[in-house]
Amino acid sequence: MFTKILVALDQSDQSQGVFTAALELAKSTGAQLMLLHVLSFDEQNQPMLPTFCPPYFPIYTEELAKYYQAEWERITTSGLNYLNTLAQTARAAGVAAECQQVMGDPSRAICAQAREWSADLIVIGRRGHSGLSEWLLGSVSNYVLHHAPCAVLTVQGVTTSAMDSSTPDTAALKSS
Amino acid sequence: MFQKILVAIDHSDSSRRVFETALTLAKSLSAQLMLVHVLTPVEKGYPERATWADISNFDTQLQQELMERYSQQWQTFEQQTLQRLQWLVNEAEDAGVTTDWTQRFGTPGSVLCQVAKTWGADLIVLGRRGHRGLTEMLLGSVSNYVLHHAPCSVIVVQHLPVADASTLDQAATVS
Repeated sequence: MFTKILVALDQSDQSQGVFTAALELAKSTGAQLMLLHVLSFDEQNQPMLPTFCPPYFPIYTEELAKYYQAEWERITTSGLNYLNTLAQTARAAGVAAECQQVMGDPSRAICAQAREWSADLIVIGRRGHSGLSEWLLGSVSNYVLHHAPCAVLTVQGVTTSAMDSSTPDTAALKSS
Repeated sequence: MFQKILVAIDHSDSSRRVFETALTLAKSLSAQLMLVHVLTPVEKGYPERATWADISNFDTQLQQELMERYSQQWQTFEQQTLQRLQWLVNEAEDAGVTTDWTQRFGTPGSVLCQVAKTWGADLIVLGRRGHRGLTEMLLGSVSNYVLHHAPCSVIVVQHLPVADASTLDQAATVS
């Protein structure tokens, strides 16, 4: 059924759970994995372009540019290392795994990669934003759900208990 | 990891695919299944209540007949869906998967989340009707609701592109 599983990882706390779920599935269905890390400007710990803005003109020096570039390289390498470590774990468990790092908007990049690689399952985490923060920050899982070319497994994060308690209220609201 | 899989069944074209996906998963993970069908008025084949308000308000005999006919239709519908559910349960049991089932009345999204919580599911498998834009806003997206309110992980199985046209037609007639 599922033979090619695309795993979206972002080095957050939830990523471990996402990876574990994907590995478990791949082991029992004999599928191969593609571990995907998307470099984006949204991600936490992403370098900011350090410019000082005095009233008349922004100061932008070569050193700052170099610092910025070095920061990006650091992020890129750490992402790749992260993927490689997980890929090794997967291979040790007897699952074929490859790594891919792309740059762009996470939602679109995940769907594009799934299409290109012809994945038949995408495994993704949920940041657990809802309400205003979801509206502002956007929900990657929501976008992927609506635009993916294949089935999508959304792994719930640590916020489960918080959402748990909100569910009956919403249900009551719906039925009234 | 995934030991209790809840499957949302709605007897539509894409439902078969959802069931097969869940069954394959359950077999390979040696998990148990729970098939849930939610009776809801937006579902295809759901009996419509005949309300001729102007006549029936004065004619109690006719009103009663209409009510009886409606409740009969309703019972037939419930029996049919129950039987279809039973077939699926048998199929899963034949494949060697421990399977439970339930049929509830209500709003699909919240009922699915409630059952998932009370049964202690750790994975929900459901399909996507493929509504988007205005039809999604009007008819609501069950998968979207479940994604945001589920107590556990969720697999959303995409509908086949072939079924796309018929779903769109359906949506067009509804709107």
